[in-house]
Amino acid sequence: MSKAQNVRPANDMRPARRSLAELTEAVSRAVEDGLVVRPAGTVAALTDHQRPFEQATEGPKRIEVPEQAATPTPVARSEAQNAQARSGEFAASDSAAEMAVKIAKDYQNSMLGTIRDGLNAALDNAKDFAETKRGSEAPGNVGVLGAAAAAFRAEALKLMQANVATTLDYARELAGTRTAAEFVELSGTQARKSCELMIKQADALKSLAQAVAKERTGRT
Amino acid sequence: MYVLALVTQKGGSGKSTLTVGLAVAAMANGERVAIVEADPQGTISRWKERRADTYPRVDRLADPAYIEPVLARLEAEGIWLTIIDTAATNNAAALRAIARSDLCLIPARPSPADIEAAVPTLIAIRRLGRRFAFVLNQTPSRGCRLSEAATSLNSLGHLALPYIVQRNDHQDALGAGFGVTEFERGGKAAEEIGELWRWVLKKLVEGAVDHEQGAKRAAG
Repeated sequence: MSKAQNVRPANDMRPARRSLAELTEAVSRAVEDGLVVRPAGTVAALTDHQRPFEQATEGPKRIEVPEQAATPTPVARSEAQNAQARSGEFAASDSAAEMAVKIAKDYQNSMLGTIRDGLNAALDNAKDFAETKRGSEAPGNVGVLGAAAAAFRAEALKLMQANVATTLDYARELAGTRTAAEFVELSGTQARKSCELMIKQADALKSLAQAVAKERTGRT
Repeated sequence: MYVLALVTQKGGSGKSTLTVGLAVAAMANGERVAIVEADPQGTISRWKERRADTYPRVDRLADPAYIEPVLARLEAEGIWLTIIDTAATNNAAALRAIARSDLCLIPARPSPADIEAAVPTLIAIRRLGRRFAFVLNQTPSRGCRLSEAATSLNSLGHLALPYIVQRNDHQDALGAGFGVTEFERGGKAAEEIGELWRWVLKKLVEGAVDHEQGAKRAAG
């Protein structure tokens, strides 16, 4: 038995370790880059409704922003000074825009899920009703119910488009948000808009169902 | 009511364990403390099931949109401090927690992965204008890499003191439904968490004073 297998060959150089300090510099640059405006690509699309910089106006127990300017290390101080110098430029970044889109998608998924469930239930009801009545009613009525299902599908498409449009507007506004107060307010506003949209959509479906029922009654 | 949020998208960095440790340490002077668990993993809810004491109160957050009403209710009930434990992802709940917090703690182990993972969190915190500090967590008790990590994190912003050394008491306390300051009074882990809580409290109070002075200046 030899221990030679465990010995690293002389020419097998171990890669040099990268220090955490070096890595942190890269992290710091990534954060600063993430806070600075980038006018190109999707970010530009998301930031074309930017508003001027405003300080957060919050309740009495809220803590104001300037905090990290008091960071004790020289590096952090220079960063803070740079940040202050650029404060007028603070806007959405790639990362921030991605986050905004992510939040908007959360809302979209939640809204679309609810709409989809409602529509599926409505379509199932129409289908069940058509199948139950198929044996006992005239072929014309089955046609009416088939048309109802098709109308529901068409309406579903319109509702989905409305949801997507609202979500994109929200993402655009969120990307331009600069303060905590704005963020919270915008989230609340979006929740309200979502509710209002849902109510309108529910009404649209209800009217459609009533119209189909009326048409069917008229034919029988 | 003070609001403290533990945020970073890096899993395993010790957000839940620190949340529990700090919450129990904060109760030492008879203050009413609550934890809002915004992490579907449910570590704190399960810890609470093992716990005999009524406090800290634990509220599990099913939907990020509920964070505002939950915090409003806790404040109305006379809770003095709420600690929000977020999931290891940069989701809507984490952003809302950051937006609503007086101070954000970013736990990071002395590793490149933890430091790099802080980038989106730092961008979000700075965009939302919140105060923050890193907590160097699960560290070795000494060594040049520890000081290197401390220097690195200090260059990115405040670094909370002391560093929290990797000790079994933290996991044992979590498993037994205790805070580490209850589990092994006088132990090193308990001392570190107690001291970290005093550091956090100082920052919370300083922030509130800064805010009041800022409000007075604005009013004057």
